[in-house]
Amino acid sequence: MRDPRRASRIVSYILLAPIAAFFVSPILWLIVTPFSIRPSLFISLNGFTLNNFARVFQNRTAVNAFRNSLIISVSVVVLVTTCALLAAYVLSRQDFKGRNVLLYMLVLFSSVVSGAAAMVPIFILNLRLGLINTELGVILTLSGGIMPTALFILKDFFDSIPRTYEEAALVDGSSPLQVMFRIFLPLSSKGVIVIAMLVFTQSWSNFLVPFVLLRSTSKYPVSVAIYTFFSEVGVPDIGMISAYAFLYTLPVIFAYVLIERKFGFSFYGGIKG
Amino acid sequence: MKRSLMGRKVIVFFLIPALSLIFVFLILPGVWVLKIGMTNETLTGPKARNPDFVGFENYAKVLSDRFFYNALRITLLFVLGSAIIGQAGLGLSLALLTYRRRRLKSFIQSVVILAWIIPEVVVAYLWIAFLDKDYGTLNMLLSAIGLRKINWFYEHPLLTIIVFNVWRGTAYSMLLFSAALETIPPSYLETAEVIGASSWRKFKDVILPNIRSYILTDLILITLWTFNVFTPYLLTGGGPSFRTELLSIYIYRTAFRYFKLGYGASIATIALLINFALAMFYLSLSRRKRT
Amino acid sequence: MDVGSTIIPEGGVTVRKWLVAVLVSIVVVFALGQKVTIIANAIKGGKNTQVVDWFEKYIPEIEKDLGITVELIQTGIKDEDFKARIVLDIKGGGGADILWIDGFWVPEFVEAGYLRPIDDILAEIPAWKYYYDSMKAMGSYKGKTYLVPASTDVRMIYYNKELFKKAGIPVPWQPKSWEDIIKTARIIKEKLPGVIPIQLNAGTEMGEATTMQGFFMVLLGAGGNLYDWQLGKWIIKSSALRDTLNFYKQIYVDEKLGDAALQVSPGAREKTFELFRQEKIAMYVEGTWFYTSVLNPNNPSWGFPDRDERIGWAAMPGRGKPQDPEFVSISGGTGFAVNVNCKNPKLVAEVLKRLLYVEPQLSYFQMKPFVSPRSDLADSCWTVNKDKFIAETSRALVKYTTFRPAFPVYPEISFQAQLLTERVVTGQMSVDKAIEEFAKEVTKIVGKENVIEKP
Repeated sequence: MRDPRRASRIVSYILLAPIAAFFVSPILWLIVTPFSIRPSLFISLNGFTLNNFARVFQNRTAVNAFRNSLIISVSVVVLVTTCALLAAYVLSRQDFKGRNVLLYMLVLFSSVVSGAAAMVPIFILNLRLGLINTELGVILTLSGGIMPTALFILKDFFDSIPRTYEEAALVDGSSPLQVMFRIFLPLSSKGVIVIAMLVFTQSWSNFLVPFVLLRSTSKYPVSVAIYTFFSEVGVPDIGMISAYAFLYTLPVIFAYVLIERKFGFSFYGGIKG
Repeated sequence: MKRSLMGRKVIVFFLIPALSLIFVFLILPGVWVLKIGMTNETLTGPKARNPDFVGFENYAKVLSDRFFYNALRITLLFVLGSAIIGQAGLGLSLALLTYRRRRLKSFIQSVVILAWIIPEVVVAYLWIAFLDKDYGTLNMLLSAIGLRKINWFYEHPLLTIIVFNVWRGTAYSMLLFSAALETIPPSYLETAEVIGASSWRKFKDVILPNIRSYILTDLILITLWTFNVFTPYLLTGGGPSFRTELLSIYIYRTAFRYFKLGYGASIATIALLINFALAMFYLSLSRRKRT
Repeated sequence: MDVGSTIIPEGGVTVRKWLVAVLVSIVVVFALGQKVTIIANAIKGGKNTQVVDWFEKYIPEIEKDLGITVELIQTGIKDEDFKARIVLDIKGGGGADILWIDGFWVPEFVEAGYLRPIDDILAEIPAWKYYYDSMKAMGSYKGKTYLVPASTDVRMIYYNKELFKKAGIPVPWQPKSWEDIIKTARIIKEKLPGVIPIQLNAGTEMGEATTMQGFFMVLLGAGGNLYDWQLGKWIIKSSALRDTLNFYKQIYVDEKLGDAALQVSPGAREKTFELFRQEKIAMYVEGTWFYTSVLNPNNPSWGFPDRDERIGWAAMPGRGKPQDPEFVSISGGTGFAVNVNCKNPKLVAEVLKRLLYVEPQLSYFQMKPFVSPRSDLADSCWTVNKDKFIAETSRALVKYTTFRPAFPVYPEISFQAQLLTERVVTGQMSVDKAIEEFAKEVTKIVGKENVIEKP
């Protein structure tokens, strides 16, 4: 029965080729343009240069924005990872009625309360707290939004870690806190790292929250800065913007490759919520 | 033996940071928005100093607001085209086409996932460049084969953002359906082969029944996500002339361009309620499955 | 870290160290407290760069004179984003002391409690008596003054003389009616394909620029207005309004003398500046700022090196029927307002006073000419004689010019007017339907008792 197999193979290639091209084309532009001597809106590689990247570093706003993105993302990662770690530990080890339902509800809630609609009350909340145009407001808001997912995933990870080590340690006389930090933490490092990477990419890529809450150009993270570059007045510097976008995208790709390499692309519903 | 690993105090102490963050920055806003929607607070003008409590007046206004219905209509078309037909359809097709073809699947998945993980601002710019009416790659290709260049964002705005969003979000559906297909015992399909069933029969009678719950999960999640997505704003700003103004963009314009916070909150509440209804619908369906 | 021991007078020295530290802090705080901040939508090398240059020239003098720090906060963003920034700053309890803002924001800012009345400050500023009454009125609301006008402007039609010559249209050009404009536009369309004959702002994308440079300029020419000052009502329907929209329709829909798609595309305003610079637009209805800032040879993005020879201006004519105004113009203006959170009103008064001396004002005029809101400046031979454009346009148009209705609700009505033009030029609605919607929405905004229909 080789012919039908071969035929179906060919058919699938014919179908997949344009689809693959569809997905690749816009991305191809991102890879090619930053290195192009005469960058243009269509994919053209005329010569090779690193000039566009140099121009990025000469732009004060662009460089500043990198710093802001870093500060915000790292802060969110630290905040969320620490809080989620503690809470997920309890949720995993402490069985109480409705535990799973609670978590599930929280994750669903965070999917429902998202987007521009959610930003209205969040904006007013930040306004009342005096957090408008502050990095802290952005950090707290991002953290609150991503926490349920982080909890959900971490708890799942933790559930898969056998309790025997902890119980043995308790029997030996260690205090619960010692158990947590000395025994459990090293065992769970894998999950913690995955969460840190996921939280990082979500915060790094987020546009809407800083766009709504921040007002000073000097505080913009890269996501908002790029937007102002290509949507603002005058002729956009295509070379510079594409190089900037390229640099901005690298950490995200890197993080995902890391997750994939080490832990496989485990599939969690609701991550993108 | 369920023995407590730690005392009450420790438990509470461990839970409080995470739960309070969630409460203050997620749950509180989610509920409070209803109340704000009942005021006429703005950021300038007399209602900035002394907003009034107007009960359900805003909500009534929304229901007679031409822009609201415009946004709702566009959003529904967007979700139908981009999520239900686009992402789910394309995702399923890709999963089927790459079933059991390891290297091909790996390649296709990488490309599709790339479109999904690149930050939204970058993706928006990529598409603005791709579709530029004079120099964009697509138009250059069209004119190279003798067709006319098209001003995509002006002539076919809604179609453009639908296609864009399909490109952006298909990875999720594809991954989910691939995982779903993997759960079908190969023997089923082999049996179908032996019987001589056609591809369509195979799909209808073997594959479909076994991935039904996955389809449900996928549809609900991408519907929720697509309903709230804001990225098209970066492409069209809601235009031209409000023709791509999704509900999320209309809310943005009302609350953050005109600073009509009270009225914006009422529209936001309605949007969140729609979300909530979708989520509840899903829950009820999946619960029915279990019985 | 035993604090107790340091207080015990084993340390006469230690105590003195403490005292010094405390005194220094007090002085530092006191010195830091003596600071006045100014915010303007200007950024060096970008938008309104001349403003920054001006401040850099005069701030050091003022600082030395008063012994304080004066800081200029720079931003170069869209007007509406600038407004949002100021509003959020003030609402959060902070914000710059002096705000260089658009005059028509005053009513809504005052109602929201963001501005401090400056009648007491103005009493300290001798130059105030030279300001024209109409200008003083622009800065006041409900009996109190909140804004010192910095500049005002008039509006007219700009045209590219070279393009006109190429199309065989005699220059200088001065149309006497709408029909004249249409006739000229038709000639351009025929003789110069690829050139947009006229840019008359329309649509919501260009915001207030549509209402001012487009909508009002036409509506006033038909003898109409948005607001009836005598009756105190908003005019939601009139034949003048209908003729206005028909004029728009004729240009954008019937004869395609303008580019409708351009009006609704993102960044429309900047695109039109770009096109005008590329000489793809022949006529453009705009204001003083367009000539002195956008087209200025010192503007790297859109300036014409030979602006004075290449770009001409003509007064915007009325509709052309008997009883219609001969020419029309509408004026806006910017000015200095004071933040309600300002902690040193006396210092602010001193700073403002010095910024408004004749010398700095003349210097500012040199960098970025404007129509003067005060008679001592207008009469000085420097302004009148040196800048031909300002002199001519002021002389010709100030007598025709009028102002927008200054109410907190104005921005919403303005949006409806923009929407009205948008629906007509994109063909989404017929003129009658669009006016119907306009009337309905405005009535909803201000209430039935505040609207009126005119024949």
